[in-house]
Amino acid sequence: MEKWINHTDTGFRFMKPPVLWKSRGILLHLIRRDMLVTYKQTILGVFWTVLKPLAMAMVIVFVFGRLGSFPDYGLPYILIALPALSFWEFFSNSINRGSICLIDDRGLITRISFPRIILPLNASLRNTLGLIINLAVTVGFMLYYEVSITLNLLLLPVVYIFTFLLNFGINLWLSTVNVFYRDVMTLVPFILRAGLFISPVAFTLQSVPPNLQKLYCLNPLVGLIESARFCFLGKEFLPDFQCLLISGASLLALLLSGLYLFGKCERKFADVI
Amino acid sequence: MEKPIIETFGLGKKYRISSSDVKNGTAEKSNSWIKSAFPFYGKEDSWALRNIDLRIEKGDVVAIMGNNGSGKSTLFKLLSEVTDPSEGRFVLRGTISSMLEVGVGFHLELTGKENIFLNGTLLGMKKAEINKHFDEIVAFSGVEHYLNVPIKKYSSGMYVRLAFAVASFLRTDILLVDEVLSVGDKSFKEKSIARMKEMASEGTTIMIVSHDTSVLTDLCNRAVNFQNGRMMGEGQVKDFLL
Repeated sequence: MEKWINHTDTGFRFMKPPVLWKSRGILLHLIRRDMLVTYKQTILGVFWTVLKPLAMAMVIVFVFGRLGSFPDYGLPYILIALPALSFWEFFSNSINRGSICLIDDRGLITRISFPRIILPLNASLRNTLGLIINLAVTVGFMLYYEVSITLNLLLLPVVYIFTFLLNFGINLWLSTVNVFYRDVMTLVPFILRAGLFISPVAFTLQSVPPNLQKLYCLNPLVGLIESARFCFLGKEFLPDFQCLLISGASLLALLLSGLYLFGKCERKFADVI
Repeated sequence: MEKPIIETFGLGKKYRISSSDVKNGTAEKSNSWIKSAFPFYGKEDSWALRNIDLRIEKGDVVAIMGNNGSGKSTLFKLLSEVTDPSEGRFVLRGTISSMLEVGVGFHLELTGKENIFLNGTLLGMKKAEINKHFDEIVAFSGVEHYLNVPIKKYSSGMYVRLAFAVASFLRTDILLVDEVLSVGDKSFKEKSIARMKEMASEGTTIMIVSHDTSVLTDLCNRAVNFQNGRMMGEGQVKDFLL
């Protein structure tokens, strides 16, 4: 076995599938570590995963359902909010973590050699368990309000995969830039707070002025959240196909540019971080 | 004849450091706040390592000697692919593992047992391998009774013993050891040196950085001396003792 390392080598080491496959154990252990660590020394433990979005749903139901004026969907407002909120929680949790995932594990980056892309990958999968619990809670509410459950629910894994890809694309960007400029980690919580209001979490795409809808769909979350609602609530919430295409395209652009940026910069991480 | 297990050709590593860091303590200091606020202002290149032509034969136990800042750790970071060379190239003819610091990836909130698996995986061990050596690792570290206790409750001695124990069961062709033999008390130190000898006798090529020259004389059959990022000579450990 001979392995040459040259100063002219460029990035993209992680693009080799065998390299990634060999490191799957690291990913699994990091996932385990994060799960174990999150709820150590808490009283409520894993129940926090359910409580957080539920409390948030209450606030949204109160503010938007009671105070705001929205079209009547013929459904309890909480059922409009919860599917969207579940995915929003998954998304925002992962982005919050993703922006700091590299500098948080700088101990690993500066001391051992492993495919660093595992770190943003891990951050993007974070809280999958929480998402599943939240989706189950949503189904519980549907049963309570006697809303019929359809086979559309089976499409949820597809929505999940695309949300994961969105997380991954954004995390590649944020984590990389944050290594060089820590401004990112100050900005991210603010942007996420704004994001909750500019994404159709508390309302639907129909509430957006028709002439702006196409532009609005550039936010990949629009397509994802609308699809999530469709999975739960059925035909009336069938997302606009064009909108899905636009959201999908901007998701793809984010992901590819993120991979490119990460690959270009990855070799400098250990020196700069 | 067998080719050397490690060969480097004109290997070098350069860092960019702001000039105020370099000329610390001079009149430059008066405007240092400007530099810290505008990071693009006044950067200089500084070579941590340059023109390194090194040949390590299979089975060698090599002492890497030199003062602080002579580039020893940078060499290890390059060889273990943590960081990239700025010039030159090198070849590895075997698997490499490094103990640059003990306890990579140790998490204070996790228990000793959880950390053994996390750390072992990060160092490149397979799950089956860790399982196989688990009892040995635990026995070596001597923390049997605290396996299910979060390591934040460990004494610093227990911490480093556990960390060293995991790393010392690595199966690899080349092992880089950076200043980790001086952890623990006297008896543990003797145990870790014995362990190193055992690995060397199994054919592992070892490169060691240590400021403890008695350890180096005891273990190594070769020595390389570094000063200010340059290789200043090769020979036996005793040749470079002051």
